Amino acid sequence: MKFTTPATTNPIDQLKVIGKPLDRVDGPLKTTGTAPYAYEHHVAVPDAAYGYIVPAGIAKGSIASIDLDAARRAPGVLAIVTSESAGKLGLGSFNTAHLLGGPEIQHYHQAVAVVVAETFEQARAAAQFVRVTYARQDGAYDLAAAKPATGVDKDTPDKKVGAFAGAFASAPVRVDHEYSTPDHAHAMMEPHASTARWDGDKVTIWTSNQMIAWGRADVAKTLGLPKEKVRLISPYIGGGFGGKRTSWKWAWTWIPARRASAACWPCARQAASSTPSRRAAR
Amino acid sequence: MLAVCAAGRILNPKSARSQVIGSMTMGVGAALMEELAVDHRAGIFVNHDLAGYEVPVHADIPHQEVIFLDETDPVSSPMKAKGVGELGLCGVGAAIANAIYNATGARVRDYPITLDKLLSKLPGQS
Repeated sequence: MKFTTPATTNPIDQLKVIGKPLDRVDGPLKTTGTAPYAYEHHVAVPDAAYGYIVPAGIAKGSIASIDLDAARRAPGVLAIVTSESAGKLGLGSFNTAHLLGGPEIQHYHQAVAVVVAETFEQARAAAQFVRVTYARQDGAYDLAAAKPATGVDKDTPDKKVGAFAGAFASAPVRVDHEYSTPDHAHAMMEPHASTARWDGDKVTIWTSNQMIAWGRADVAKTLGLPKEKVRLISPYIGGGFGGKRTSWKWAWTWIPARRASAACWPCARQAASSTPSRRAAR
Repeated sequence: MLAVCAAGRILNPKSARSQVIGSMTMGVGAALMEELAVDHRAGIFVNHDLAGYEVPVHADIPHQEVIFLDETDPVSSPMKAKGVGELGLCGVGAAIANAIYNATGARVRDYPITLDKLLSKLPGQS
């Protein structure tokens, strides 16, 4: 919305609800721990299988071989999905890396396989049996070293007003220091978890997401479905801080596991910290 | 900690206060604790869990107070309000850095301000 002139009197000035110290509707649920996390929709999806991700052990390169035999034989395993078996997957508008890595690996901890089993513990145990070997390539991982060569961001170019250099040089008081902040993680309470249920060719996803319309569009694009076939439900967000706006990719990485008609993914903390977006150092 | 905010019209004083005390807590994390360590050889964030990536918890946070100035801001939005959560965060890191300077004489400009960054700046150090 374009907003170029100061607001005048409008209905909000009546302050009938706005301005009052009202309790949050979901406050008691959240403070008593009874608001469900996105992987806890057991009433809506009572028969959900569990997904567990096998994360890439290199940051750049490719998969040389992947051995799923031992994992397939592990107790409770229903399916193992890789980029090879997932079928064609698109790339969401807000994603730069593919949902499943392979053969190319685009970043450390990119999902290379999703193990789906009857219980979370079985899925996690079986994931340890997936054997992946890689052809590693060298990459550039030092942001400060790479920054001088990256040039100006075309979306937000530097803005200059006036003749700074001369005025600063002749200023009676000069303050010129460099400040730095490191890379940050959002470290939200609830990781990027989700539960999904397929009904024929429609998928319903309970997730923890700050931008539902964007998420729905990207799920549809990734799975090659019309948007009408995708429903996202996010009644609560167990902390987001911007980290669940555009990088929800991991919240539904396991969705290609259609052989299990319904599955949920609790999202290990390590995955929440190393794969979705972060704030880069300045 | 005390926050005094000129944040335009406050839509809900109770939830706005919660936003600001949360922001102050996050500000303590940014000022004193939070840092993802990058392994430049392997391309991985080394401290990728809450054991290694520390954030403030209740025991780290002192008494907090929030004061909202009684104002509206017709230039910021039709509701004459501002986003309170982010406003509550932005002064915290500077305030803590200034408090450390006030207490020790050591000026640190690289966050987070951990104890090792103070050592060389303390009196008697070269």
